[in-house]
Amino acid sequence: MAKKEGLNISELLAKKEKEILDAWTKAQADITAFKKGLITEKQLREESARFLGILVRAVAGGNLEDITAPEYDEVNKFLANFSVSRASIGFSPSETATYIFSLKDTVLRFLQDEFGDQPAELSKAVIGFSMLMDKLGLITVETYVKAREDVIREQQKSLLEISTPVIQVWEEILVLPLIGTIDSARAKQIMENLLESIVATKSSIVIMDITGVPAVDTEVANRLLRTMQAAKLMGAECVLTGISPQISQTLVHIGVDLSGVTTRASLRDGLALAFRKLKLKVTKMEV
Amino acid sequence: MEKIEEVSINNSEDIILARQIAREMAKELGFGLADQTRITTAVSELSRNIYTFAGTGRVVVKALSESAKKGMEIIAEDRGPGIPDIEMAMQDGYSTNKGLGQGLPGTKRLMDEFEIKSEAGKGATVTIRKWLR
Ligand SMILES: Nc1ncnc2c1ncn2[C@@H]1O[C@H](COP(=O)(O)OP(=O)(O)O)[C@@H](O)[C@H]1O
Ligand SMILES: [Mg+2]
Repeated sequence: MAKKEGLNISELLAKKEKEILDAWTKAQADITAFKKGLITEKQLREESARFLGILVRAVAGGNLEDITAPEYDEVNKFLANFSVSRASIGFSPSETATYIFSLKDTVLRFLQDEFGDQPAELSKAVIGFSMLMDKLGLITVETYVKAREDVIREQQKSLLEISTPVIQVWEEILVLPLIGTIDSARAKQIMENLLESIVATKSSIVIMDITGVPAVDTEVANRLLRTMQAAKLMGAECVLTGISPQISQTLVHIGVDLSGVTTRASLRDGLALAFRKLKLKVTKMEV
Repeated sequence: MEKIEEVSINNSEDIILARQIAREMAKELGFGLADQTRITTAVSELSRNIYTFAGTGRVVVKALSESAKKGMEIIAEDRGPGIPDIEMAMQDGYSTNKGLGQGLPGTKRLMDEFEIKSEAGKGATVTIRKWLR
């Protein structure tokens, strides 16, 4: 038998496409996401067949190094879409990357079988192909992370859009439960709502509860202070409740002066204070 | 894997993202609740300054491990207008934006190390560190 000149991976991939696809699909069947039923075997096989076809075409010219070359456009496009859709249906990053790495293992096994009699050539091919697949694996992880970030960003947007209710808990007492992040856009809306409500309900005490606010930086503190000042101008006194010891300590450290602000540890304490100021007393009914 | 994360700051939601990433990492590294809050707040200040004064920039958050010390480093950098007078900007209450003017000096107090570099017209870079103890 005449020895082949060199060792051609692209030829091997093209020649054994069907067998590789079988082995690869089988290798993937073990991953947990697959077991969890996030994707069907049929979908997986179709998708894998498509990618293998694309990969075979990309390597046909012998380029295993530069994945920014035009022949890899389709590969990059496929992997970008692939990672985004995997992220959105709940695959973990490692499950997503396993797609590429299981293909790598499969092809390496085929290389071994086919070219076991040419060790020097084989090891060169193994290194070349491994490096290619590692690069492609990285792409899937990178795109996956970006896609997750987009999802998080979307969720944050919807958090921002939750409107802030002003609740009249008693005559002359308003409660403003602040939840989530009160960054600029929302803070402005909060302030407007509150001032309108003070007028509408003729309230004299406003309890602003920040139990649900995870971080208060100087801008947020400034907004809160200004809101309280504005409320005061409308004749309502403000009580700030729900400041965690950590936030209060950090604010002191950073130099925000809360000395002019009435604060209470909890909403409950704030409410008790409000009742006292209005000379109201809550007692148990005699039965 | 080396722990390093980057957030590009382009809108006000990115400030939230930077903050969350910093808090997560601080928690993972074993910082207590008080330090987590300090670090989160510092990151919030720096990313907000980027957004407010430069429009865009980036925040890099990384875990530090030096012989005996472990900690966290945050680099906030932008290519905005820069800070013409750093000494002034570091004073309590100085703000060109009707802000409280406590962001930079306050951040310095919250952290263990604070470095600021800036050149007018070329942007600003603030590097801060907190060590686990
Ligand atoms: N990244 C930056 N680029 C340009 N100027 C900045 C930047 N960060 C801070 N400054 C300047 O430093 C001043 C002080 O900042 P800071 O202490 O955070 O207070 P504040 O944000 O309340 O104004 C700002 O008003 C601004 O003039
Ligand atoms: Mg600031």
